Amino acid sequence: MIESVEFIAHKLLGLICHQDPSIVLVVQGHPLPLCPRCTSMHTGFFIFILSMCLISDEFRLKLARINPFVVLLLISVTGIEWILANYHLFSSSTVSRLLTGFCTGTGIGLLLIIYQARQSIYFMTTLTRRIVILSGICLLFILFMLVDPIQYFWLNLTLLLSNIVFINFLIVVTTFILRAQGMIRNLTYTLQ
Amino acid sequence: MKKQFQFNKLDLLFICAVAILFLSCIATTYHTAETLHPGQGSLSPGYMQARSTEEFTETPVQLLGTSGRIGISKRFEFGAEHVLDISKDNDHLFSSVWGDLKVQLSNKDKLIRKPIISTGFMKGYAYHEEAGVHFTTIPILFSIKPTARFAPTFQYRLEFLSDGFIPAELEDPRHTFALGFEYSLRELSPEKWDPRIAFSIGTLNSLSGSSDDPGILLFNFGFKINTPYKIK
Repeated sequence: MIESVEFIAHKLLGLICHQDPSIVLVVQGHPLPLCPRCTSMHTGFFIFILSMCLISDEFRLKLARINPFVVLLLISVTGIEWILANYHLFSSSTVSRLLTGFCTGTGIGLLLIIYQARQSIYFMTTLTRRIVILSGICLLFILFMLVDPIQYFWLNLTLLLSNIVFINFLIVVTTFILRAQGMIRNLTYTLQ
Repeated sequence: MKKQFQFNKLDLLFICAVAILFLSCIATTYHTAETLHPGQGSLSPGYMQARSTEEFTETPVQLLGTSGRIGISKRFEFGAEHVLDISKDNDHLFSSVWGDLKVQLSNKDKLIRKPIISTGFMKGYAYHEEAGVHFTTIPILFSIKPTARFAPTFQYRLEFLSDGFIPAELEDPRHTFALGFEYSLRELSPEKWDPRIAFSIGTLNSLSGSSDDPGILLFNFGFKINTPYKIK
């Protein structure tokens, strides 16, 4: 089973990550399917969006008033760290990759909130909200009930990461669909 | 019409951020047959991923390019590029610098639904001490735009690798075939910046120039931004 999960997770998540074997984290002898930057970027984005589900609409709208160019600075942290490391001006470590990736993920999450508020897009449709909650329950079930969390720590992490990437993808796609709907509706109205 | 319901800067910013989230490890540059307008500039930080056709699951070679281009006249365009090899185990072996001149042979008025054929001359140098290879390339590009914003392109490159600046022998050339498209994210206007997304897929018969090489698959996806220009 572990081999199958490893194969599928690496194939699927390989579409969005270079999976450089020299930097990926190895847990219990198995490499994780995402590099440290992608891992923390997706986790940061997911945690930020999840926390936005728990706060009030007023506070979310307050957050949306932040200048997007300030958010850009937060997003560019990973890029700066990566460029400095590539030109040997800074020595990257797993911790630095995880930290900068998390900053970028959080920044992208914040940009999503700003984008949705300014383009009059619902934060989440009822369907997306239900899927996120259901996925959260599934994650907890996988982590604590289905398999031994310590013995199969790598398997849990891989399933957790795959689920997080899937939810992030769903949130982004829903946002794009709602935005396109708004644009088409306006175009139809203008043509009429 | 409310500006909010048109494609705006925030849309572009969000698309770029999503690309960072999902494709931060994979992003590239791409060029069509159409030359830039005189005085128009173009910037495209990007990246190419090359995978062996036989060992597809092996770690690919990854090259990050930063290119700048400028339109010299209606038919001529000059470009320069720095390519950084970011494959971890390669120690920047394929890092190189490039310069090229592109000439648009047909459709000088850049009309849509009419084919554009262009060619040119490219020179490159892989400057790593273990590489030290000069590239001499002749590209042929073919584009036909069904709409003003969408440009599918076919590209062929004949490339010679040599130790000296001028190739002593014209043997074992590399052949590159690529098929792709470029799409403008907003309505085209000479006064406005023109952000684009681009994608291409192609094959290269050899990365090292050796005839024993089984061949390489190339994947490109990236962003490009063209500057405003004056109409003469």
